[in-house]
Amino acid sequence: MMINSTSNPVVESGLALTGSKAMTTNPDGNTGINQRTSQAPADATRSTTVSTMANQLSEASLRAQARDARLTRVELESLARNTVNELLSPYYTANKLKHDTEVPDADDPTLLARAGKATLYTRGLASNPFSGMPADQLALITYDDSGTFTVNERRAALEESDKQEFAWRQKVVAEAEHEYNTTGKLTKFFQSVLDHYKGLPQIEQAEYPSDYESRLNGLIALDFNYLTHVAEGKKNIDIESFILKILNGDSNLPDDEHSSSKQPQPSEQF
Amino acid sequence: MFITPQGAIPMKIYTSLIAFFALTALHINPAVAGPPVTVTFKNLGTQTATYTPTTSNEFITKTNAEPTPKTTINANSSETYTVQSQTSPDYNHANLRYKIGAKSCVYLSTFVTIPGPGGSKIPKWNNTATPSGGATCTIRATRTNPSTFAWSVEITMK
Repeated sequence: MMINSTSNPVVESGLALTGSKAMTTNPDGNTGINQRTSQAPADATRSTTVSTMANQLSEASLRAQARDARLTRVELESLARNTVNELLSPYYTANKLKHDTEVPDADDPTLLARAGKATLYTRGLASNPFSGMPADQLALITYDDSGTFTVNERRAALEESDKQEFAWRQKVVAEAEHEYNTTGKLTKFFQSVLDHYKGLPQIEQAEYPSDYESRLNGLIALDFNYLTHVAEGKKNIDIESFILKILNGDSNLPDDEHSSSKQPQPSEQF
Repeated sequence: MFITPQGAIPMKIYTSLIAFFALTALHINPAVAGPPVTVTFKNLGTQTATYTPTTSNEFITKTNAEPTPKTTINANSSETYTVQSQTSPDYNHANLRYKIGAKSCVYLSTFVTIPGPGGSKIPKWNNTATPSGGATCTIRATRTNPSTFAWSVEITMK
């Protein structure tokens, strides 16, 4: 799901609690929506846990929207790069002790537990608390520097995001190889890459070249066959069709007899 | 009637000639590209690796890569993308530079065809990895398609 200045992915994806629906977690600790039932008081704790998470994500989404509206693409790219450096560079390692002792500014035991699990994860002692979380929500956590999420939580979110990105890339480049070897084209591949790009949060889009979308659109429109060296795109087909009509005498262009009997129109002059 | 130095050409014939040449031009390689190479980079080190194109050939590779290579690759993580040059159907290259601290690896994977008997084309692939700063760099071809010449390489660094 794409994050932009007019949408709130947390609300749209149902993470905000409304009506009789409640958030639940799957075995990996991730969010989903189930109908609330009257049973199981233990579920109340779980719902509270996810409700807290949903609230945090909802607030982070609002901050992200404000940030995206305030910063230019270049500034967003710089912010993204600095964030990744902060979370993955030797600077992070040099401050590991500080990060490992960071606790959220909250009394909520669920938040404290989640932060603790993130720290254990970054030390290789636990699974990623954000495993399986949707990419747009991972970006909310990674790039939120408000202090709502600890540095280790943000690093865990970034690593999960990278893991999901690599899985998608593996799939799409394998499809590209197959498409090229069977059709000589890469048009579907370019479309998949464009669709993926459009679904990224603005701050992650900013890490790509500024002409990325237009370049991909151009390649898709060209629909080029690299084995026959023929562009089969709709634009070219339309032009070809038009030209062939002329060659076949189907155009409304005047012949000499008509031309000589009337004043030439501007469109007839070469 | 259209007047040329060689004489008058009826408008309809002149139009047809223009259309013919335009149609021909459409089929003269509006874009050319060599077979794509799929690159998989594996960071086998204990620190984050950074993708740092430096030379013009390395920047050309970045431009020709889809999806755009990520700038940072965490330790024990991987990255993959395809690269396709836009210069000739008989040529492609991927020229990549990754760094881990002071360690650096420069990878070059190339494809060319040379003329063979009976007008055939003989494909040639070449892969090199150049380490510096104490890095260990490897490159190996993992797949080559004998018909389309598309190929894949795996590059590693630590």
